[in-house]
Amino acid sequence: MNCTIARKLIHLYLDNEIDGAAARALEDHASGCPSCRAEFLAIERLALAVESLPRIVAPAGFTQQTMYMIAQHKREQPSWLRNWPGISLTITLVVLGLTLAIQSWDEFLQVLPDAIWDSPSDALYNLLVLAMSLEVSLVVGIGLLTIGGLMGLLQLIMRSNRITSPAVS
Amino acid sequence: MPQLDDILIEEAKEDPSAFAELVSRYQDRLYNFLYRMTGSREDAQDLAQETFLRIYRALARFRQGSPFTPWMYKIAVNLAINHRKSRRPTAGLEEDFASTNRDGSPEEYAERREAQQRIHAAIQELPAAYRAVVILRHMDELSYDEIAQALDIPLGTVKVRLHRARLMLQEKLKQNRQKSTAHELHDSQKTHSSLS
Repeated sequence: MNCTIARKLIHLYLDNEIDGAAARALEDHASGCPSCRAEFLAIERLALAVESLPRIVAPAGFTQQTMYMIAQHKREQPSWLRNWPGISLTITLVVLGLTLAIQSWDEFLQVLPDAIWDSPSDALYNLLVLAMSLEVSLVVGIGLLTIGGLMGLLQLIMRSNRITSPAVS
Repeated sequence: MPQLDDILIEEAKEDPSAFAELVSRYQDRLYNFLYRMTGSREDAQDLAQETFLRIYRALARFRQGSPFTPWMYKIAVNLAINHRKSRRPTAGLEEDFASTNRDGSPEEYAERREAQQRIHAAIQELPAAYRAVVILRHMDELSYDEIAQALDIPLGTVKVRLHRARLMLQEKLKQNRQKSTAHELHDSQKTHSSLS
Protein backbone atom coordinates (compact mmCIF):
# COMPACT_ATOMS: atom_id res chain seq x y z
CA MET A 1 0.00 0.00 0.00
CA ASN A 2 1.26 3.48 -0.79
CA CYS A 3 0.95 6.54 1.43
CA THR A 4 -1.76 8.23 -0.66
CA ILE A 5 -4.14 5.31 -0.16
CA ALA A 6 -3.11 4.94 3.49
CA ARG A 7 -3.92 8.62 4.15
CA LYS A 8 -7.45 8.05 2.83
CA LEU A 9 -7.92 4.86 4.81
CA ILE A 10 -6.86 6.53 8.06
CA HIS A 11 -10.12 8.51 8.08
CA LEU A 12 -12.27 5.49 7.32
CA TYR A 13 -10.42 3.46 9.93
CA LEU A 14 -11.00 6.03 12.66
CA ASP A 15 -14.69 6.23 11.68
CA ASN A 16 -15.12 2.42 11.78
CA GLU A 17 -16.16 2.49 8.14
CA ILE A 18 -13.60 0.00 6.88
CA ASP A 19 -13.54 -3.78 6.51
CA GLY A 20 -11.12 -6.11 8.26
CA ALA A 21 -8.81 -6.71 5.31
CA ALA A 22 -8.36 -3.00 4.60
CA ALA A 23 -7.81 -2.31 8.29
CA ARG A 24 -5.03 -4.91 8.47
CA ALA A 25 -3.43 -3.54 5.30
CA LEU A 26 -3.39 -0.06 6.83
CA GLU A 27 -1.93 -1.34 10.08
CA ASP A 28 0.78 -3.16 8.13
CA HIS A 29 1.63 -0.02 6.21
CA ALA A 30 1.61 2.24 9.29
CA SER A 31 3.91 -0.04 11.24
CA GLY A 32 6.61 0.60 8.64
CA CYS A 33 5.81 4.25 7.80
CA PRO A 34 6.49 6.86 10.52
CA SER A 35 4.91 9.74 8.61
CA CYS A 36 1.60 7.89 8.13
CA ARG A 37 1.74 6.88 11.78
CA ALA A 38 2.14 10.54 12.75
CA GLU A 39 -0.76 11.49 10.47
CA PHE A 40 -2.90 8.78 12.04
CA LEU A 41 -2.20 10.14 15.52
CA ALA A 42 -2.83 13.73 14.41
CA ILE A 43 -6.23 12.90 12.90
CA GLU A 44 -7.15 10.81 15.92
CA ARG A 45 -6.23 13.69 18.24
CA LEU A 46 -8.28 16.09 16.16
CA ALA A 47 -11.31 13.79 16.22
CA LEU A 48 -11.01 13.38 19.99
CA ALA A 49 -10.71 17.14 20.43
CA VAL A 50 -13.98 17.76 18.57
CA GLU A 51 -15.67 14.90 20.42
CA SER A 52 -14.61 16.39 23.75
CA LEU A 53 -16.41 19.69 23.10
CA PRO A 54 -19.14 20.23 25.68
CA ARG A 55 -22.71 19.45 24.59
CA ILE A 56 -24.70 22.62 25.04
CA VAL A 57 -28.24 21.99 26.23
CA ALA A 58 -31.35 23.90 25.16
CA PRO A 59 -32.39 26.69 27.52
CA ALA A 60 -34.99 26.04 30.21
CA GLY A 61 -38.56 26.19 28.94
CA PHE A 62 -37.55 25.38 25.39
CA THR A 63 -40.24 22.71 24.94
CA GLN A 64 -43.05 24.96 26.21
CA GLN A 65 -41.90 27.88 24.06
CA THR A 66 -41.72 25.67 20.99
CA MET A 67 -45.18 24.22 21.62
CA TYR A 68 -46.53 27.72 22.17
CA MET A 69 -45.06 28.85 18.85
CA ILE A 70 -46.55 25.84 17.07
CA ALA A 71 -49.96 26.56 18.61
CA GLN A 72 -49.75 30.17 17.45
CA HIS A 73 -49.00 29.08 13.90
CA LYS A 74 -51.80 26.55 13.97
CA ARG A 75 -54.35 29.13 15.05
CA GLU A 76 -53.61 31.14 11.95
CA GLN A 77 -56.11 30.61 9.16
CA PRO A 78 -55.08 28.58 6.15
CA SER A 79 -53.48 30.75 3.52
CA TRP A 80 -56.40 30.77 1.08
CA LEU A 81 -58.67 32.04 3.87
CA ARG A 82 -56.11 34.60 4.97
CA ASN A 83 -56.00 35.94 1.42
CA TRP A 84 -59.75 36.00 0.87
CA PRO A 85 -60.07 39.81 0.58
CA GLY A 86 -57.50 39.80 -2.21
CA ILE A 87 -59.07 36.85 -3.96
CA SER A 88 -62.64 38.16 -3.68
CA LEU A 89 -61.54 41.58 -4.91
CA THR A 90 -59.91 40.07 -7.97
CA ILE A 91 -62.98 37.99 -8.75
CA THR A 92 -65.28 41.02 -8.30
CA LEU A 93 -63.18 43.18 -10.60
CA VAL A 94 -62.92 40.52 -13.27
CA VAL A 95 -66.67 39.76 -13.20
CA LEU A 96 -67.53 43.46 -13.25
CA GLY A 97 -65.11 44.16 -16.07
CA LEU A 98 -66.48 41.30 -18.14
CA THR A 99 -70.11 42.33 -17.49
CA LEU A 100 -69.40 45.89 -18.51
CA ALA A 101 -67.52 44.77 -21.59
CA ILE A 102 -70.29 42.40 -22.68
CA GLN A 103 -72.95 45.01 -21.96
CA SER A 104 -71.12 47.69 -23.89
CA TRP A 105 -70.50 45.33 -26.74
CA ASP A 106 -74.20 44.37 -26.81
CA GLU A 107 -75.20 48.00 -26.78
CA PHE A 108 -72.70 48.72 -29.47
CA LEU A 109 -74.04 45.93 -31.67
CA GLN A 110 -77.64 47.04 -31.05
CA VAL A 111 -77.02 50.68 -31.67
CA LEU A 112 -74.45 50.76 -34.39
CA PRO A 113 -76.01 48.91 -37.34
CA ASP A 114 -79.40 50.69 -36.98
CA ALA A 115 -77.73 54.02 -36.54
CA ILE A 116 -75.62 53.54 -39.58
CA TRP A 117 -78.70 52.62 -41.66
CA ASP A 118 -81.01 55.32 -40.22
CA SER A 119 -78.98 58.44 -40.11
CA PRO A 120 -75.41 59.33 -39.42
CA SER A 121 -76.37 61.88 -36.73
CA ASP A 122 -78.21 59.22 -34.70
CA ALA A 123 -75.17 57.05 -34.92
CA LEU A 124 -73.08 59.90 -33.58
CA TYR A 125 -75.55 60.46 -30.72
CA ASN A 126 -75.59 56.80 -29.80
CA LEU A 127 -71.84 56.60 -29.86
CA LEU A 128 -71.80 59.55 -27.46
CA VAL A 129 -74.17 57.73 -25.10
CA LEU A 130 -71.99 54.67 -25.31
CA ALA A 131 -68.89 56.70 -24.52
CA MET A 132 -70.63 58.20 -21.49
CA SER A 133 -71.71 54.80 -20.21
CA LEU A 134 -68.11 53.67 -20.59
CA GLU A 135 -67.05 56.64 -18.55
CA VAL A 136 -69.54 55.71 -15.85
CA SER A 137 -68.11 52.20 -15.74
CA LEU A 138 -64.65 53.75 -15.47
CA VAL A 139 -65.73 55.77 -12.44
CA VAL A 140 -67.33 52.69 -10.88
CA GLY A 141 -64.14 50.75 -11.61
CA ILE A 142 -61.95 53.36 -9.95
CA GLY A 143 -64.27 53.40 -6.94
CA LEU A 144 -64.02 49.64 -6.61
CA LEU A 145 -60.26 49.76 -6.95
CA THR A 146 -60.10 52.30 -4.13
CA ILE A 147 -62.21 50.11 -1.87
CA GLY A 148 -60.07 47.11 -2.78
CA GLY A 149 -56.92 49.04 -1.98
CA LEU A 150 -58.30 50.08 1.41
CA MET A 151 -59.23 46.48 2.16
CA GLY A 152 -55.75 45.35 1.20
CA LEU A 153 -54.24 47.97 3.50
CA LEU A 154 -56.48 46.86 6.36
CA GLN A 155 -55.46 43.27 5.77
CA LEU A 156 -51.79 44.26 5.84
CA ILE A 157 -52.20 46.07 9.17
CA MET A 158 -54.05 43.10 10.64
CA ARG A 159 -51.37 40.70 9.52
CA SER A 160 -48.45 42.74 10.86
CA ASN A 161 -50.26 42.94 14.20
CA ARG A 162 -50.64 39.20 14.24
CA ILE A 163 -46.94 38.69 13.61
CA THR A 164 -45.74 41.09 16.27
CA SER A 165 -48.16 40.24 19.05
CA PRO A 166 -47.18 36.69 20.07
CA ALA A 167 -43.68 37.51 21.24
CA VAL A 168 -41.88 34.19 21.40
CA SER A 169 -38.34 34.79 22.41
CA MET B 1 -41.56 -3.66 16.52
CA PRO B 2 -42.21 0.08 16.21
CA GLN B 3 -39.64 2.39 17.74
CA LEU B 4 -40.51 4.98 20.38
CA ASP B 5 -40.08 7.72 17.75
CA ASP B 6 -42.66 6.05 15.51
CA ILE B 7 -45.15 5.76 18.36
CA LEU B 8 -44.65 9.40 19.32
CA ILE B 9 -45.03 10.58 15.73
CA GLU B 10 -48.23 8.57 15.25
CA GLU B 11 -49.58 9.99 18.51
CA ALA B 12 -48.55 13.53 17.58
CA LYS B 13 -50.60 13.38 14.37
CA GLU B 14 -53.72 13.23 16.58
CA ASP B 15 -52.56 14.91 19.76
CA PRO B 16 -50.18 17.89 19.83
CA SER B 17 -49.13 17.20 23.42
CA ALA B 18 -47.44 14.00 22.20
CA PHE B 19 -45.35 16.21 19.98
CA ALA B 20 -44.05 17.98 23.10
CA GLU B 21 -42.63 14.61 24.13
CA LEU B 22 -40.76 14.36 20.85
CA VAL B 23 -39.45 17.92 21.24
CA SER B 24 -38.11 17.33 24.72
CA ARG B 25 -36.54 14.08 23.57
CA TYR B 26 -34.50 15.73 20.83
CA GLN B 27 -34.19 19.40 21.78
CA ASP B 28 -30.73 19.15 23.35
CA ARG B 29 -29.21 17.26 20.44
CA LEU B 30 -30.71 19.66 17.98
CA TYR B 31 -29.80 22.75 19.98
CA ASN B 32 -26.17 21.69 20.40
CA PHE B 33 -25.92 20.85 16.69
CA LEU B 34 -27.30 24.24 15.68
CA TYR B 35 -25.17 26.06 18.24
CA ARG B 36 -22.05 24.43 16.80
CA MET B 37 -23.27 25.25 13.28
CA THR B 38 -24.12 28.92 13.89
CA GLY B 39 -21.90 29.81 16.83
CA SER B 40 -24.76 31.75 18.39
CA ARG B 41 -27.20 30.72 21.11
CA GLU B 42 -29.99 32.95 19.80
CA ASP B 43 -29.66 31.57 16.30
CA ALA B 44 -29.53 28.03 17.64
CA GLN B 45 -32.77 28.58 19.53
CA ASP B 46 -34.56 30.20 16.59
CA LEU B 47 -33.47 27.54 14.14
CA ALA B 48 -34.25 24.69 16.55
CA GLN B 49 -37.79 26.02 16.99
CA GLU B 50 -38.15 26.49 13.25
CA THR B 51 -36.97 22.90 12.72
CA PHE B 52 -39.60 21.55 15.11
CA LEU B 53 -42.29 23.69 13.51
CA ARG B 54 -41.41 22.29 10.09
CA ILE B 55 -41.39 18.76 11.45
CA TYR B 56 -44.79 19.32 13.00
CA ARG B 57 -46.22 20.58 9.74
CA ALA B 58 -44.78 17.65 7.82
CA LEU B 59 -45.88 14.94 10.29
CA ALA B 60 -48.59 13.69 7.96
CA ARG B 61 -46.00 13.07 5.26
CA PHE B 62 -43.70 11.12 7.55
CA ARG B 63 -43.40 7.49 6.52
CA GLN B 64 -43.65 5.13 9.44
CA GLY B 65 -40.61 2.97 9.96
CA SER B 66 -38.12 5.36 8.39
CA PRO B 67 -35.68 6.70 10.99
CA PHE B 68 -36.58 10.01 12.58
CA THR B 69 -33.15 11.52 13.30
CA PRO B 70 -31.79 11.80 9.73
CA TRP B 71 -35.05 13.52 8.80
CA MET B 72 -34.69 15.95 11.70
CA TYR B 73 -31.07 16.69 10.85
CA LYS B 74 -31.95 17.15 7.20
CA ILE B 75 -34.32 19.99 8.04
CA ALA B 76 -31.90 21.49 10.57
CA VAL B 77 -28.90 21.28 8.21
CA ASN B 78 -30.84 23.04 5.45
CA LEU B 79 -31.88 25.81 7.81
CA ALA B 80 -28.36 26.19 9.19
CA ILE B 81 -26.65 26.24 5.79
CA ASN B 82 -29.07 28.77 4.34
CA HIS B 83 -28.96 30.87 7.48
CA ARG B 84 -26.91 34.03 7.19
CA LYS B 85 -24.83 34.62 10.24
CA SER B 86 -26.52 37.72 11.49
CA ARG B 87 -25.86 37.72 15.17
CA ARG B 88 -22.68 38.05 17.08
CA PRO B 89 -21.27 34.69 18.08
CA THR B 90 -21.80 33.68 21.66
CA ALA B 91 -18.51 32.53 23.06
CA GLY B 92 -17.02 31.65 26.39
CA LEU B 93 -20.14 31.49 28.54
CA GLU B 94 -19.30 29.71 31.77
CA GLU B 95 -22.07 27.16 31.30
CA ASP B 96 -20.60 26.17 27.93
CA PHE B 97 -17.84 24.53 29.90
CA ALA B 98 -20.04 23.02 32.60
CA SER B 99 -19.26 19.56 31.31
CA THR B 100 -15.55 20.24 30.85
CA ASN B 101 -13.49 17.82 32.88
CA ARG B 102 -12.40 19.58 36.10
CA ASP B 103 -9.74 17.04 37.04
CA GLY B 104 -6.28 18.34 37.78
CA SER B 105 -5.11 21.83 38.61
CA PRO B 106 -7.02 25.02 37.77
CA GLU B 107 -4.30 25.72 35.18
CA GLU B 108 -5.00 22.42 33.47
CA TYR B 109 -8.72 23.16 33.49
CA ALA B 110 -8.13 26.62 32.01
CA GLU B 111 -5.93 25.07 29.36
CA ARG B 112 -8.58 22.53 28.44
CA ARG B 113 -11.15 25.29 28.19
CA GLU B 114 -8.89 27.30 25.96
CA ALA B 115 -8.27 24.31 23.71
CA GLN B 116 -12.03 23.75 23.40
CA GLN B 117 -12.52 27.41 22.58
CA ARG B 118 -9.90 27.16 19.83
CA ILE B 119 -11.51 24.07 18.30
CA HIS B 120 -14.96 25.67 18.39
CA ALA B 121 -13.59 28.80 16.69
CA ALA B 122 -11.80 26.76 14.02
CA ILE B 123 -14.99 24.81 13.27
CA GLN B 124 -16.81 28.11 12.81
CA GLU B 125 -14.31 29.08 10.12
CA LEU B 126 -15.08 26.01 7.97
CA PRO B 127 -17.50 26.38 5.04
CA ALA B 128 -20.99 25.35 6.20
CA ALA B 129 -21.13 22.09 4.22
CA TYR B 130 -17.84 20.95 5.78
CA ARG B 131 -18.78 22.23 9.22
CA ALA B 132 -21.93 20.10 9.05
CA VAL B 133 -20.13 16.80 8.36
CA VAL B 134 -17.60 17.37 11.15
CA ILE B 135 -20.28 18.15 13.72
CA LEU B 136 -22.60 15.36 12.60
CA ARG B 137 -19.78 12.84 12.74
CA HIS B 138 -17.97 13.86 15.91
CA MET B 139 -20.62 15.44 18.10
CA ASP B 140 -23.80 13.71 16.99
CA GLU B 141 -21.98 10.47 16.19
CA LEU B 142 -23.89 9.78 12.99
CA SER B 143 -22.65 7.04 10.67
CA TYR B 144 -21.61 7.82 7.09
CA ASP B 145 -24.96 6.43 5.98
CA GLU B 146 -26.91 8.70 8.29
CA ILE B 147 -24.82 11.72 7.28
CA ALA B 148 -25.50 10.92 3.62
CA GLN B 149 -29.24 10.89 4.37
CA ALA B 150 -29.15 14.06 6.44
CA LEU B 151 -27.21 16.02 3.82
CA ASP B 152 -28.87 14.31 0.86
CA ILE B 153 -25.52 13.48 -0.72
CA PRO B 154 -23.99 10.17 -1.92
CA LEU B 155 -21.91 8.08 0.46
CA GLY B 156 -18.76 8.75 -1.56
CA THR B 157 -19.24 12.48 -1.11
CA VAL B 158 -19.53 12.03 2.66
CA LYS B 159 -16.14 10.29 2.72
CA VAL B 160 -14.45 12.93 0.61
CA ARG B 161 -16.04 15.82 2.46
CA LEU B 162 -15.18 14.49 5.89
CA HIS B 163 -11.60 13.84 4.82
CA ARG B 164 -11.23 17.38 3.45
CA ALA B 165 -13.03 18.92 6.41
CA ARG B 166 -10.56 17.37 8.84
CA LEU B 167 -7.57 18.53 6.83
CA MET B 168 -9.05 22.02 6.67
CA LEU B 169 -9.67 21.98 10.39
CA GLN B 170 -6.08 20.90 11.03
CA GLU B 171 -4.87 23.72 8.83
CA LYS B 172 -7.07 26.33 10.57
CA LEU B 173 -5.87 25.22 13.99
CA LYS B 174 -2.26 25.46 12.84
CA GLN B 175 -2.82 28.94 11.37
CA ASN B 176 -4.60 30.19 14.48
CA ARG B 177 -1.84 28.85 16.68
CA GLN B 178 0.76 30.62 14.56
CA LYS B 179 -1.25 33.83 14.67
CA SER B 180 -1.57 33.71 18.45
CA THR B 181 2.14 32.98 18.96
CA ALA B 182 2.94 35.86 16.61
CA HIS B 183 0.69 38.04 18.78
CA GLU B 184 2.38 36.90 21.97
CA LEU B 185 5.78 37.50 20.43
CA HIS B 186 4.69 40.95 19.36
CA ASP B 187 3.31 41.72 22.84
CA SER B 188 6.44 40.48 24.59
CA GLN B 189 8.57 42.56 22.24
CA LYS B 190 6.50 45.61 23.11
CA THR B 191 6.88 45.07 26.85
CA HIS B 192 10.57 44.42 26.26
CA SER B 193 11.05 47.65 24.34
CA SER B 194 9.06 49.66 26.86
CA LEU B 195 11.26 48.28 29.64
CA SER B 196 14.53 49.12 27.95
